[in-house]
Amino acid sequence: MSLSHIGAWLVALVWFAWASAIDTQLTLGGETSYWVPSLGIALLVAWAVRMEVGTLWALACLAALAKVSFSVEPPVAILAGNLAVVMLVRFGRRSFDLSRPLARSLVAGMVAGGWLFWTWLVLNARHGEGVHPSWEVLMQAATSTGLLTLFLGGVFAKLPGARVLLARRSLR
Amino acid sequence: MSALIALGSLTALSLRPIPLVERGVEQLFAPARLVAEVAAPIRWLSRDDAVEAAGTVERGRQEVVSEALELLEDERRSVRPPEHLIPAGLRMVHAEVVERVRGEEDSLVIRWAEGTQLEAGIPVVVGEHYVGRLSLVDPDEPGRGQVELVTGRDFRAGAQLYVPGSARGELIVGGLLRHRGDVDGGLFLAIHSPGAWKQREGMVRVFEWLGEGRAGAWADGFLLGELVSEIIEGGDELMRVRPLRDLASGLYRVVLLAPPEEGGVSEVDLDAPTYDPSCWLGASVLTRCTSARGRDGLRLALSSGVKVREGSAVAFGPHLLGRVETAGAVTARVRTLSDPGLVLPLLARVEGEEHPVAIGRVTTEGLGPGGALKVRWESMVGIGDGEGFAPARLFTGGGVLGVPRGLLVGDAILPRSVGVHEVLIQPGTDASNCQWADVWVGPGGGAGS
Repeated sequence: MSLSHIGAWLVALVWFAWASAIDTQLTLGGETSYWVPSLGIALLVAWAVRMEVGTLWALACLAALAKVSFSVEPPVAILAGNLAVVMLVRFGRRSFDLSRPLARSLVAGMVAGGWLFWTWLVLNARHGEGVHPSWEVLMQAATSTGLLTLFLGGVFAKLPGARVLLARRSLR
Repeated sequence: MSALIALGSLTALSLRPIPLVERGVEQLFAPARLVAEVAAPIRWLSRDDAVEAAGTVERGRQEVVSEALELLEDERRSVRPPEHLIPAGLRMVHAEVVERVRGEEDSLVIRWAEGTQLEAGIPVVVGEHYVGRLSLVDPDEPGRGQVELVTGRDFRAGAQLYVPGSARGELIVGGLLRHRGDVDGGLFLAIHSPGAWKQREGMVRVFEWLGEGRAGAWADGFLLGELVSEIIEGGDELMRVRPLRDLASGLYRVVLLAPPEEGGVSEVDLDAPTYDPSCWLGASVLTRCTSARGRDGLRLALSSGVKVREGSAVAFGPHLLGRVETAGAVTARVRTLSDPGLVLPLLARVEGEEHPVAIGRVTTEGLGPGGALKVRWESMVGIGDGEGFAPARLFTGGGVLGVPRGLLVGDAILPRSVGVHEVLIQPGTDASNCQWADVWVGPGGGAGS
């Protein structure tokens, strides 16, 4: 791994940290913040659909490391969630070009809804509490994050540092 | 394939955590502390609010602390048994409930003054209410022991039914009849071998007719509850005893009736170290952890080498913020009060009530309107006459390891009736604005409560 790659991964960590921090600020004190899109998920998906498949695991771990600082969910659950996301992307890229705007926004929407469901499942399994997310809530989260990825996914791919990581795009 | 195995393992660990692995993964993610520092500029946006919040808490601190200490003193007085029920010469040893072990709901772990020697078998009371016996004295830790509650499966206590102007009926009480989820306050004590008496109501008090001079008899006259009679399917009559204290989660402080000691005192008190600065450890708030699902928490920065126990209270001045979920080497993850599913036993200063009321456990359900905490409260015995509503100030009760009694939680309007209620608590402070907090480490820094 070249020095520029190491630098790029470090920069990526900063981007994920900032995305998670902004997500946290946006949902502070919000009773119904399901319409607030998840910047962290949008960034993860926007990069995962373009990155070389061999490095997707590293991306999942990096995003988890950043998310852990800003999440009350246990690290193991965050890591499991991120691994599931990159596996989904990896599987999808075998048949589709997920880097296209509509495709990536669809994936981001699925991930956002799935993430809500997953965090509820973890809370419920560990503490026997939490309200089951309704379809409406899942759709709100999916739509907002999907739209964000649709319009800004391209911009995320051009963030400083991203170019090096996304340069060797592979469909397999 | 290996990816699938890894994902499957992580999923299983997420849903069914193994503490050792959980702590290991937490250590692996220790560098997350640096990541949080990277995003500090986002936090600086709310720095003015943080300074203002800290100022407000500091200004009101003395008043809240005085109020809490007064509440704890009132609680001490309220659990003191009436003089006429205490056999001559017995000592009253005050104790606090430090833990209720999961899966052992019929017992209490208690703490009393370390220098006081006690023996198993002595009665445990709260005011005029009988709650059980000291079943175990911890040989390794002076001043610690376990109480077997009257709800215990094998617990039996001789009793009498008191009906004014009538003969007294004798019976044996002990163990839970069953927990009736469909009946408000549905926790009843079972009656064994009831006599042929015809009374269908009245107060049931301890009477150990074979216990003359023995520890069991020291509790004679203390109240077990009131007799309740009901015709069940098949036309049979079912009699049971309804305790007048919340034995499930409303016991925070108890009194042990101990034999006299030569030249000893008649009452052995116990201090609450809640506001002793040496029991707290300062920590800066690294990040606020919220999510769209309403989950809410904090990540604290810990000095390396500092041992923080899971479940310990986290406070902002005299205000309870939450409890430590997991503590790693350099950070701790905290569930704040508004995180759904957090369970806390509370002690309330209720308007119109002479003494503090142990209202039992509440379970948080997230944020309500205007930043209020939405909680679910199962009131087992009601408040006062059981009618209407009353304003109350809520503090932490006892029975949760690592959470000291008397930390302010907030203000609420409490229904006085028995049953399951949804209550909104206006928190005393807003956790979103604090940039430092205190973690409970207990007397001697041992994280006990």
